Amino acid sequence: MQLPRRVPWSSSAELDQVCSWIFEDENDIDAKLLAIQRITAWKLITSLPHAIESTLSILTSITDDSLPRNQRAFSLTLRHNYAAALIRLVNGLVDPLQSGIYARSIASIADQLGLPLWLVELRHSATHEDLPSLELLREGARQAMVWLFNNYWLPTSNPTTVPKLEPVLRPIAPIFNEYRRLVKATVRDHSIKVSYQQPIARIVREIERWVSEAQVAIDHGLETGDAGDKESFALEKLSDELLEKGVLVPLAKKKRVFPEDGFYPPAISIQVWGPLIQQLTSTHPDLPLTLINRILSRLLSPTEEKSNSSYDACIARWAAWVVDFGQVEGGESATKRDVVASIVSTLGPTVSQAKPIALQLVQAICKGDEQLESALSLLSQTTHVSNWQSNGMDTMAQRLEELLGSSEPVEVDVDVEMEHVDKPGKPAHCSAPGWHRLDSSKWSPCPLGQLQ
Amino acid sequence: MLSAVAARKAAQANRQHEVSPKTLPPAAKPKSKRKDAPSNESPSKNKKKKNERTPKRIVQQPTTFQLEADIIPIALDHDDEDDEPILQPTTSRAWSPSVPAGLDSSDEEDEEEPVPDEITAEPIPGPSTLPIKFIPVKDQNVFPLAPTDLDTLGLDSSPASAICLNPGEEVSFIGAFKLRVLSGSITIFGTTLSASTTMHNIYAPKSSPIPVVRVASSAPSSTPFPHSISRLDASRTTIVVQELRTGIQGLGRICGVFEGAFSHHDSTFDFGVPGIHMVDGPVKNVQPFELPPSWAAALDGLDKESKESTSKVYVVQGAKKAGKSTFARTLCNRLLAKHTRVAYLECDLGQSEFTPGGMVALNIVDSPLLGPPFTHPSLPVAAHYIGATTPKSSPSHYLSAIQACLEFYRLDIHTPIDDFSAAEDDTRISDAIPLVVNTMGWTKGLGADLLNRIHDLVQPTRTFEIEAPLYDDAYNPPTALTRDSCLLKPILRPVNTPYAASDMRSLNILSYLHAVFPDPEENTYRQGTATSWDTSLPLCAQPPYAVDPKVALDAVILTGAGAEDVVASEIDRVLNVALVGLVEAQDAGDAQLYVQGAAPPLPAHSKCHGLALVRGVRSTTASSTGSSALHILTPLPPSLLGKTRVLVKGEMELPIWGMLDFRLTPEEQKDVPYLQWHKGAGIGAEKRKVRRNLMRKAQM
Repeated sequence: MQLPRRVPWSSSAELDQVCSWIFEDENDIDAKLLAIQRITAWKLITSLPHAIESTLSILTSITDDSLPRNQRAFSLTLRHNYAAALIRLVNGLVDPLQSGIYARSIASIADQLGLPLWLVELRHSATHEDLPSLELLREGARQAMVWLFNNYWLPTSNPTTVPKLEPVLRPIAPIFNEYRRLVKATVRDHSIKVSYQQPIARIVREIERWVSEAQVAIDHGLETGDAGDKESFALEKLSDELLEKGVLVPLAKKKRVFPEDGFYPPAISIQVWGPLIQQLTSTHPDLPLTLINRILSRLLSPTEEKSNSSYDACIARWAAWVVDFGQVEGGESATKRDVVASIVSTLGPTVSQAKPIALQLVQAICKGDEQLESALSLLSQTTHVSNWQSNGMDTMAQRLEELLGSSEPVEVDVDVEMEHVDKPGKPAHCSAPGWHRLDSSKWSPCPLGQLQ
Repeated sequence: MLSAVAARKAAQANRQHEVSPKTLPPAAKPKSKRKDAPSNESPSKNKKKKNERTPKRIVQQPTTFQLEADIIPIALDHDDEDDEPILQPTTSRAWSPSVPAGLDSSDEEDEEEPVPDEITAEPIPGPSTLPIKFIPVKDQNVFPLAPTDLDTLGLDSSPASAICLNPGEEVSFIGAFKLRVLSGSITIFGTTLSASTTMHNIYAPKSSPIPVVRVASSAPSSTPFPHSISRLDASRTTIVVQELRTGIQGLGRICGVFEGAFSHHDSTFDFGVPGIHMVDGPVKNVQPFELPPSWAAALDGLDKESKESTSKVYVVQGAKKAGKSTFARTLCNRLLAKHTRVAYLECDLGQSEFTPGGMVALNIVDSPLLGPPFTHPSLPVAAHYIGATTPKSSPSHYLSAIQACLEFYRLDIHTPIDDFSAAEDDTRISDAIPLVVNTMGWTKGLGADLLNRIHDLVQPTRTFEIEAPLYDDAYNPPTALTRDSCLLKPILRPVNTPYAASDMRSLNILSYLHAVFPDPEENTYRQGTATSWDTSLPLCAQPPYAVDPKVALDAVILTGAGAEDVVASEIDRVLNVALVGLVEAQDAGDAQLYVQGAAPPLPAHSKCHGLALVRGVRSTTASSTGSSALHILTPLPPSLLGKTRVLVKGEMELPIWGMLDFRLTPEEQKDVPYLQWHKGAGIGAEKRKVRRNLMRKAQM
């Protein structure tokens, strides 16, 4: 069971109120004081989201700074306030994204978060160099508040209206293009293979790096932060990129020439991209299955537009290739069956009416496997489908009624275990002044934090 | 580098020879030899170090050491196919650049760090002879007891069985049960129990090392068994196990991680006693309790101490996860062989033995502790609430709390003049109570400083220092080894356990809040341990006390970093669903209940009796309508509640499990206030995470 999290507010309305105290009117010092007092109290209750904690420190610095000059502290104190608040803001945002073994540069993470880069510079100079001037720090605090509002408070209070931030990934197309250029050259001219080995290896490393970046970027997009989820997300992204036109599928239609012997993609494409997929599979064993799944979802998604048959044919052939390659490599031995099952179950009882290319793919995969072939022929025979009738709902309602009528209310005895306990019995009477034990006549159970 | 290795080797060899507690000249500090190594060693050098260690481990081992004992400490049944072996290498893919490394999810000093696969702690040796697996056979060595037998033995009517053990036989259990030794003597949890009429409560959940019962000596019973049970062979060591009904199993329902911790379904033999399960093969993630030889030697050394009833004060210290509290518990049990009572001062706020943590507590122990801490929550005789699981926010308050407890010990406990009466035939020392001091695992930086101060305050007669586990590569400053120090090896921990330290803390708190405590006796310092748990209802369904703050309370105090800034108008909000200390304090009265920035009561003039949960707040201040009330849940006996007129709220929180109703599904609890089931939207919605193992590019 995924446990919930403790939060200090009883409902999101309370959080919204604090948000409006802070951001509604920039000059309303009283509202800001209320917000400071509330968040300070919250902080004692439980640890807060980093964004709220940072808002509190920056807000306190700003409020201190807005006092009349004669009540103000030394400007050095103010500068320290601002500097500490900004340093902690940046560190706290960046640290959770340091998920690799080695440290990434703070600037690159800030870029990914959309945090103004000069706040990172400010952090650096406030930490290691001269303490920045009050003017600069004030501007930094102002921008930090704007950033916090746009990136934390706004999405938190209206999670539905603000579109979920799709993790921003750097484009991989240029890397693929470079890879294709290099490998194609070696395919055409074997003599340069050795000298191209290193540049190709570098490009492959670059692709690996892209995958790990995708994993880090997902930190903000997924509900659960499971490491496995992150990897499968990254591999899905990679598969999608591979399936763009111009990568696995040649851009020009006239180049989509398929070999006669076997259900495979164009030979040149295999020569170029095959090694890459093999190499990536060695570090990401889930890649073949992910790629196949993405291919299938593209093939099987009902598209209204006149679908591009040569594109479909090409990716279907890639799926077949990956399945075979998987078999050869001794990877997922069940891949074949999984793929067939996945296609057939998506097609449902309308196997025979499916896109011909999907059918071809199934047949190609099943070819040579007696078990699968016989299963497929069995499936394609059952064509009778009972169509949905309008009186179906009535039948279901009737059945539900019957079910409800027959079942007696079942007493679930939760306390079987406790019956065996020698209970000394809690003393009901309490003589302490001001302490009074409630019993069930005056008090009914309710969630913690409520009185009745 | 090489010389350092050699020096360590020599030191290790030294240590091995001196098994008994030894006096270290100040010049020879074996610990410092290792610690002086530069902390920025390259990984390759570390590796070399570790390789060099391996042969030494063999040298250390006793000659009779059986190789099997390293892996199979309990009797093995290879036919058992249902369970996975205990020590299986963790299968994980080799490092890949795209796999994110583990995150440390908190900024606490004492949070766990990733444990590398290689643990070079002391291997657990087997006994000097090969353990013989106990094969239970009904009416040969296991005898279910009839009601008449129970009557003869003076036992109550719950189901019981007698078990006869031959020398060398050993048997281990999972579950909770009562145990009595009828003849001979046995060892369990490193403690020897001899034949007596005492019933011991044994708690053996899977979450901690399980007990192994071995024959210590099979001296024939001085009094032959009554005629009616003469079918039992009095010449064999005989124990009686009986059903123990405490409701502690219900904690598994409340704190889901521990579901089924007391049950074991692969037992092949039924003793006819509910709640006891014999372990006849390795069980996944379950370790048997074994006393490392250096511990056994140190504990045996105690017996050689003079019988004089002079003051004996023992300090147990060492890094986190080295086994401090296990050692301290075993030490207590050993001392109980010679003393009727032992005092235990808990200075480890994170994982306390008798209380849910967050307090410096002095407890009295008068019966052996046969189970992990959550199975014996107890009322302290003196305690001071710190309110956090580490003293880092209030180190001076922490020290004065220890000081106050020590003064109480020296004045009232050390030579007790209370009404405690031991059995007449009890030959143990009763006119002096020794003290065991358990310290915290924070041994670096400020923690080391605090430890030194604690030493100065405690003035121990003997210090047991557990070495830092060897996987702890960080720089460890040399600790000042005083005279009468005794170095111990760290305990071997299971590599992957489903129970994290934070889970254990949650369980401790929940066990405490559900416990049913005995009423404390006036003028007697007794153990005050709960022996039953009311787990029929979740906390949210238990009827609370309605407390009128105007009548019942003198002060409400907040402690912890940032507490000074909480204004009076927010106090009700802070108290709602807060875990608070119930403190008895002299002259804490003030016109106002809450004064911003008020300091916690001075330990010298106050005493914490226990914890409470404020489950609802109407108002702490009398409003115009005059209805001010707090709804409070506390396991404390009502007789204590009149004394505790101060509430102290620190940094400790109610575990999430405690806020849930185990009778409902998560979907039915979506609207519980103060809980958020979805991941927060927006950037920065997470609590802060701290990584301590991040490497720089230069370290590649």
